[in-house]
Amino acid sequence: MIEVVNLTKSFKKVKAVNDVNLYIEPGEIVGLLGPNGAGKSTTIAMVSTLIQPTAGDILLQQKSVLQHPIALRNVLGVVPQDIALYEELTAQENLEFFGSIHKIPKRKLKERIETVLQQIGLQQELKKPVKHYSGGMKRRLNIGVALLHEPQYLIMDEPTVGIDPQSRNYILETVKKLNKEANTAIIYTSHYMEEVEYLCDRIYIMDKGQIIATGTKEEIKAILSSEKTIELKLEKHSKPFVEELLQQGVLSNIQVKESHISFNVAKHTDFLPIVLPLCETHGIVLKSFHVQEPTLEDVFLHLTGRALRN
Amino acid sequence: MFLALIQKQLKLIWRSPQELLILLGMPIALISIIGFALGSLLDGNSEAIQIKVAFAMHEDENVALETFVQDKGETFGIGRNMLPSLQQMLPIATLRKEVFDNEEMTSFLQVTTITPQEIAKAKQDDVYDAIIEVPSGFTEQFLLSIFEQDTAPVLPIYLNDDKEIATTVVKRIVDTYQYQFTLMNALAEQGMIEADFTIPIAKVSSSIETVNGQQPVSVSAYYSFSMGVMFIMYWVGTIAGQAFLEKDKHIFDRILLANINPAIYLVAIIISTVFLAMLQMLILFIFAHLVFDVSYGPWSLYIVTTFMIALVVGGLTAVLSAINYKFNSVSASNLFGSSIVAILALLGGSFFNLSSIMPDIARIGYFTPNGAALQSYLTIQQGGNLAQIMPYLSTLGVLAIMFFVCAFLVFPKRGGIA
Repeated sequence: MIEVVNLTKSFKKVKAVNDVNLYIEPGEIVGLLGPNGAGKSTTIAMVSTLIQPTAGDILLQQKSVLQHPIALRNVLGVVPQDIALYEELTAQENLEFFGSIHKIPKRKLKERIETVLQQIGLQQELKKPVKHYSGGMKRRLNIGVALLHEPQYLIMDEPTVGIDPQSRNYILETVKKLNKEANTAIIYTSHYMEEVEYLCDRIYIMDKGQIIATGTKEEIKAILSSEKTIELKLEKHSKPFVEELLQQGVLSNIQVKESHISFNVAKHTDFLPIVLPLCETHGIVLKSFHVQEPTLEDVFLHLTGRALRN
Repeated sequence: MFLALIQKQLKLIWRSPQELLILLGMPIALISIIGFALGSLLDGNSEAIQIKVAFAMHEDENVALETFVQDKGETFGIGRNMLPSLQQMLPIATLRKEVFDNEEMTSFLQVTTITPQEIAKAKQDDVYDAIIEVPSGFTEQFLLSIFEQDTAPVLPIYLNDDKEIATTVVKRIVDTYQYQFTLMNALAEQGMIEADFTIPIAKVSSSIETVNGQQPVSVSAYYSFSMGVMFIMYWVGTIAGQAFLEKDKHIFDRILLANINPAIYLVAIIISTVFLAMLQMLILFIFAHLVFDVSYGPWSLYIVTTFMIALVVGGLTAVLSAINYKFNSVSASNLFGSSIVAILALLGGSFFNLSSIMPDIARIGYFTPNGAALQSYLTIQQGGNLAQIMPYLSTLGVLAIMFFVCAFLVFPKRGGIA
């Protein structure tokens, strides 16, 4: 297990990461969510032993790795957000180079390259320089390089940025398979909430250098589960109807957009006995209504006040 | 693992045609241009322009002299015994013998004697660059100008307007001759020189020799070395730029995560650069030998010098890489490639030999890596031995050590966010 204990990183007077605690156990996929500037990359760089924290510790099997990072590096693979490959070299040459610097014996490296190529689906066009690859192929090779030394833990920093949906799906399936078949534990950061929702067992939400929420998907959603969102579609817009609706104390966060009205009510509140009499009074025809359970996006918005992709 | 780092560097360079063009194509092109343009001229092996001069004689000077002595000898007190001395004074014979038929001049002067009847045709045909017409009575008028202080005779010279250089040369030759001839006669009249004094003709030398008696260095050889030591410096910006790209794209992070010590990475940069720089020089030397026939004496001294300059280039590359990493910017190596190399090249004598124009600046140039290496190469070319190049090798050694120390002190020990 990798544990991050009270991790802090300051750049001059700015605290990029402030007292972060997290852990990842073998075989699980953990999501790290946060808007730009939340401190995710700095946290990942520290967990990868690439930068030293100002305070706190990183433990592997309860032993600190700050002074002796070799043990962690041996079991850790990192897929950076950038395409960390030599564009002039072929896929084969890239894999050979990164395998060699991991000191994988020549014969084993050959086998590993074959396996990795299968895992990332790049058996074809091995002899083509990477610069001629599509964005999706580069992303897959970027992942493949991190898998060469068979890491037990994998950190993936936005591995699907800027690629087509087909490649994205392929990568998501690869991640799932890796986790399932090789029991690789994965820390996954993404701007795509649905990816995190699809892949991760547990989620950490970061903002302004701190972890502001943590738990399983259900636990995180439960933060907003005391409320539900109702969307009404009216035949026409009516100002008096909206004004009277606003006076109802049980409704909150009322938003009006032409003939559409949305509001929040407590999870167990029966809203129809409130809305229907009002419709009748104002001669409004209610065409439809929709009850929406909270999503991770709603929770994120609720916690940070910002949309994830802003 | 270490070998993989070096192999990767070589592959990256090999796959960068633009870099190869600058590092190999440019010096070869410049050596070729300079070699062909200036080489033969400055080496003194040039094919001098061929100037065709025709002499059209309306009279035979000796016959005219004899007639003059016969007819007017008594009047001027000239006996037949004075004929040999007078013959030596005849201007056209002297001009032919001392100037136009001079062995040194025949390499670029082709003198032909034509008959006066051929003058018109020769002018029309445009065959000659100059036609010197010796008119009838020229000798008599010349002798009268001496003995009677009469008017000096006129020697008509027709110059071909279409051949400016050739006609300028002929005009200068005749003017100089006329000046010296008049001067000698004036001095003789004043009794300042002996009668049998002959007009001295300036010797024209076509070989370049150094003051110290060392072997001369041909222009082709000079520029092969000077361009070599200039373009070897371009490795610094190129490799340091590539190294920064590795940081910028987080490849360096991957290298660190593979448990490669940053110092090992830096050593790999140095070794790759040294190898590439030596290879570049080898290719340039072979090119200079094959195309310009530049010959090399003791190979070992060239190898030592090349190794030392390559070592400095490796050290400098490491320093620039470290600075790029430290400040997270490629500006340092860009600045080096765009400006500093040119300044070093100028100081080090790559464009021209500064020692004859600005000796003080040239002395500073000896302490630049390229300047020291160039001096070492030139000394070997001039027949110098190890002891003679040792000061330059020492300069290179000190610079290399200095750069290594700086690089290892500045280079970051960890990776991280770019």
